[in-house]
Amino acid sequence: MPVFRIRHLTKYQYSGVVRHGHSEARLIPLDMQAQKVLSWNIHITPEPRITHRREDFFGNQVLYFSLEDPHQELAVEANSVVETWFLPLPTKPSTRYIEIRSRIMAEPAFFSERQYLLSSVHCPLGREFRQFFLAICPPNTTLLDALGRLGEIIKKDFTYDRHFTTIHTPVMEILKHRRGVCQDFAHLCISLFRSVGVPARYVSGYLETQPPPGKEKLRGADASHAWFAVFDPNLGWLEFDPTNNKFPDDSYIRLAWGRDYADVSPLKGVLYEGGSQTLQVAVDVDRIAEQKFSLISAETSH
Amino acid sequence: MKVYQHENVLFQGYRVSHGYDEVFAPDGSIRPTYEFLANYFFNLSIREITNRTNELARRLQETSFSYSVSYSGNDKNVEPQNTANLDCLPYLVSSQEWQKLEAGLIQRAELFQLILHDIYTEQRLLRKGLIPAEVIFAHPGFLRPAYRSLPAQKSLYLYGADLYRNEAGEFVLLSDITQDFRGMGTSLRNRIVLSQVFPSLYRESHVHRVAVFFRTLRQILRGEGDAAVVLSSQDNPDSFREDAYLAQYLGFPLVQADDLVVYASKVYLKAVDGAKEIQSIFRRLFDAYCDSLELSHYSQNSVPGLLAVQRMGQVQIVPALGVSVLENLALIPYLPAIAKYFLGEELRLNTIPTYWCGDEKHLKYVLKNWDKLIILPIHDSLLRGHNLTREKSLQLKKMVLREPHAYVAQEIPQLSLAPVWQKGVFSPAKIFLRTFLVAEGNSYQVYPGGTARALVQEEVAAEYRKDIWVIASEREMEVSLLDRSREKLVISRFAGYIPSRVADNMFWLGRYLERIDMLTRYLLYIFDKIRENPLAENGLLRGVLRSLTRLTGTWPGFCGELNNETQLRLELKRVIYQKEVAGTLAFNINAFMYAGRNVADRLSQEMNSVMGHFPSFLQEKELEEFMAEADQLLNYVSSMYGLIHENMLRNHAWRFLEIGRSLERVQLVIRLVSAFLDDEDFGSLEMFEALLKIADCYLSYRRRYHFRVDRAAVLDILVYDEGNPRSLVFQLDKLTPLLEALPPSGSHSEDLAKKNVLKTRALLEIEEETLMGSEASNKDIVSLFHKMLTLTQQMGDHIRDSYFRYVELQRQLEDLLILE
Repeated sequence: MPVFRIRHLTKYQYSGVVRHGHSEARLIPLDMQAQKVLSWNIHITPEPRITHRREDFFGNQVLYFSLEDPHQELAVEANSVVETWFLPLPTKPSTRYIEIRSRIMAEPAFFSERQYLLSSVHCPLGREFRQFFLAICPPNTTLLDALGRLGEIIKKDFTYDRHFTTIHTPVMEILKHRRGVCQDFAHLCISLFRSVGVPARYVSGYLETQPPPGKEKLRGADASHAWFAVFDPNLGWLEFDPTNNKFPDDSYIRLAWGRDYADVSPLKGVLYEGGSQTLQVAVDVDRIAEQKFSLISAETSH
Repeated sequence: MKVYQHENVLFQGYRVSHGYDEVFAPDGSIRPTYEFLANYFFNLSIREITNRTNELARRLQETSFSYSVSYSGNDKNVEPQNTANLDCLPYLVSSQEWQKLEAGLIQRAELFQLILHDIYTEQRLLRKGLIPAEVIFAHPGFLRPAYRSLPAQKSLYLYGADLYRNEAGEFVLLSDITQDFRGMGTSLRNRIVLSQVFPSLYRESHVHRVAVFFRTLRQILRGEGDAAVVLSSQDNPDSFREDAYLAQYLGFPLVQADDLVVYASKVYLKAVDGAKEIQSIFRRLFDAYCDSLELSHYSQNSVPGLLAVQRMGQVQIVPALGVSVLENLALIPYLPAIAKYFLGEELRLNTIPTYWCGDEKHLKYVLKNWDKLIILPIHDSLLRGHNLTREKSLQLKKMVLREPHAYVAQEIPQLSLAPVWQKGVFSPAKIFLRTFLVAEGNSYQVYPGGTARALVQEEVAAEYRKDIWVIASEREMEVSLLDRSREKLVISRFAGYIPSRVADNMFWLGRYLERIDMLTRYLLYIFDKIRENPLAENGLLRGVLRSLTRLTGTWPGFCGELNNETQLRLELKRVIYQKEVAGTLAFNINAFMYAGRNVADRLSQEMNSVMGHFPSFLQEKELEEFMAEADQLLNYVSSMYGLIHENMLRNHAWRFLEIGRSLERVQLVIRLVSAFLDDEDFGSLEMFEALLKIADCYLSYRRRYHFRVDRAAVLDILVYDEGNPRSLVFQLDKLTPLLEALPPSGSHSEDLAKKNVLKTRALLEIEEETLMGSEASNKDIVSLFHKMLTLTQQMGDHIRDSYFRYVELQRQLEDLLILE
């Protein structure tokens, strides 16, 4: 039961003066079965005129802030302490993916999951996705198996390439060229699963990284990470990290989820004036404790 | 089926073989509701009806917003307006019938309020399966960021419905409206115009008055103070005109997204004298374009932060952000069950049978009956229409099968028919109806009327509008928006805020009016000369033509190699009609209209109607034809001058207009004189005459100097004559008090503008000797004038910097790819 301290610093510098602006940050981690937020704070410079925290439609924490003094630099530093658990994969049988759509449509209690079957900004549906999926997973494959098979294929056939994509690269291109970054792989998998009738959603967060053997961990060298989750009517939401071909363990920290990246962008904003921008991001994920027992004694029943 | 035919000559060609006839009962007799109206028309001659119909068209043309001009310089600058299509015959409904319809509409509006609240909070309807999830989740109007942001008590202030009347004569609903209330302003305007053209008919028909509806709407928007605005967008010129009309009628400023700004969780209007807090917004801009922070990230100009303000309850937005999810045809099949659940009632209003393709059984039915149904996207009832080609139909089927939840199918309505006046007879037209509801207390009030769309489908399809009249058994009291409350009124001269955009456009309206004036005078002078001699043979005119090019800057123009008559005339036409080129008459008229459209709600009916004549000069004609009517243009300009002088309140809007005019006059005279002095032929009698005539000083000059030609005398009258409204001194002296009277903008530029006026004035004093003497060369004088021109141009910049800085560039924070 590790405890992590996460520092996520985002810095914008503008060539001109920003007169005022409005922003939203989704930088407070989720409270959920696999993790608890022990504390958090967000420092914003310059001092915002208004801040307002709320839970969004998907259950993520959002901090709205408005800046009303002219400025040429914006720094948002989010700090949080999060305890995570390793949740072993459920032992109950997984559903055959081919049956999932009709199971979900038949049960009103799953109404909310139905939105994760629809196409979204970054995750279109289509025959190409369906065919690709069917070639890997015959119809009798269970959802858990399908995740495993897809993970293997991405590990084997797809190249991690940070120079290939931008934030606007369509997921069809990723499928065609078989390269991309974690965000692209997550979007691709979402498109694939939704195209065969499995609800899928995007998860943004962090992953603890290990320094190369014998070296010290560099400050600010960690990064945001992204993976996805699919819904099994028997087992609930199952997370999977296609980039590393693994089911997330206790080294993963979840920040927010939604239909795709567009719903969970960690920081967005609209500025008045300001000219061109340069952006710097530094993330540190530090393991600060290893608890034998949960820090939250009342909630160890998971 | 029976064929009705009436013996009256007006109805000779009127035959209806199926569908409900609004006017005639199946036995051919006139329905009781229409008796009075029919008798009224039977007593009119064909000629008289045609005259009145033309009068309707004329009045609609003259109402404020019947002109349409695009400023983009693309083709089709002047669109023909379909305002002429108001039919002389209103659509009548008896009070009893209307009351029944009202009950059905009110029930529906109340139900929609409950659904709206539920969708954006508990979602019980989804949880219980009363609405299939995709009906909401796949609808583009379901704004997830708006979840739990709507006011808890009342969020659906307006509701509307598209209806028709079936064969049994019952009203049937086709679609619901919760955001796109186009037609509300048109309905009002049609009512006003029709009652003006048929005053006695209107008076004696006992028509329910519509003003009371707008009074309720105004009360809702007004709240405590007067801080309400109508939010619209110029991107859609048609609805912008309608919005301007409504704004003017309601008495609220018409604004666009970048006129508003969010500070400290409140909405402010960028006014000339600073930011003014706004309490409520009558929103005509679609919700997706309202907030680029949370809604569409791609909209360039929006009000970022607006949804956050709605969430915090600091502004009332009508319709609220998020309501468009209810413009949802897929809800229709589920409403009976929802009505039972929420109200324990049956639906009172009939609805056209509608099938949601997301439901498997429905989809099967739809595919089986494909050709008997109309397929519509769930969020867009405007795409109504069937009669698809086979190819299109197959294409549509593919789309439906790919995303069945995004479509519904409706049965084809058997529309009722009513006569419309077309080419001297009444012809049958199919009727669609639209009406509106506004919240009142715990319930809703129905607009007593609305607009009927009448489609004639003979050889050529034509569309008309009919005003809907609800006929009472007794006459009603007059209602107007003027408040009759007995409370003591606080006397005020404050007529609302002046948005910076309004000031900016007023300023440019004045400037372009002056440019049109001088250019028209210039052209008239040239035409006078052409009538005497052809252009090519009129050697003395060449200097005048070259100076025209210098003035307008339409290079190379007449300063280029133009030798024969054809080339010269072509160039003249270019100066008139080539709207893409800055400086031409067409360009200036377009820019003038653009500014005018932006401030249409600030100008009087009369000014708008005079302005409505300008675009007709943009239609390219032969030179001779233009020559014959050009003096008419000058008359319209003079009418504008007269109205500006006599018809406008001396408020800040007027001041900006006058500042624009004076500044432009100063610059035009400087440029005109320079253009002439620069010409090799300057000095000739003809050049002097031309200059004086174009500058509108010829008569006064002749009175003073007879036919003597002298540079100093000309300069005196154009520069120093304090009694000549065209002189520099006159206009400069006018500018100072105008600038002084403006509200403090808090900007340093404001003082700089005033200083520039003084500097220009001082320069004139200092250089009087040079200008009035004979020693300085023409070149010296031109360079002196250039100095003055620069000073006055800076003055314009300073005014812009202090008062028109409302357009700020909005940018999104750049995003970073998530790497690992």
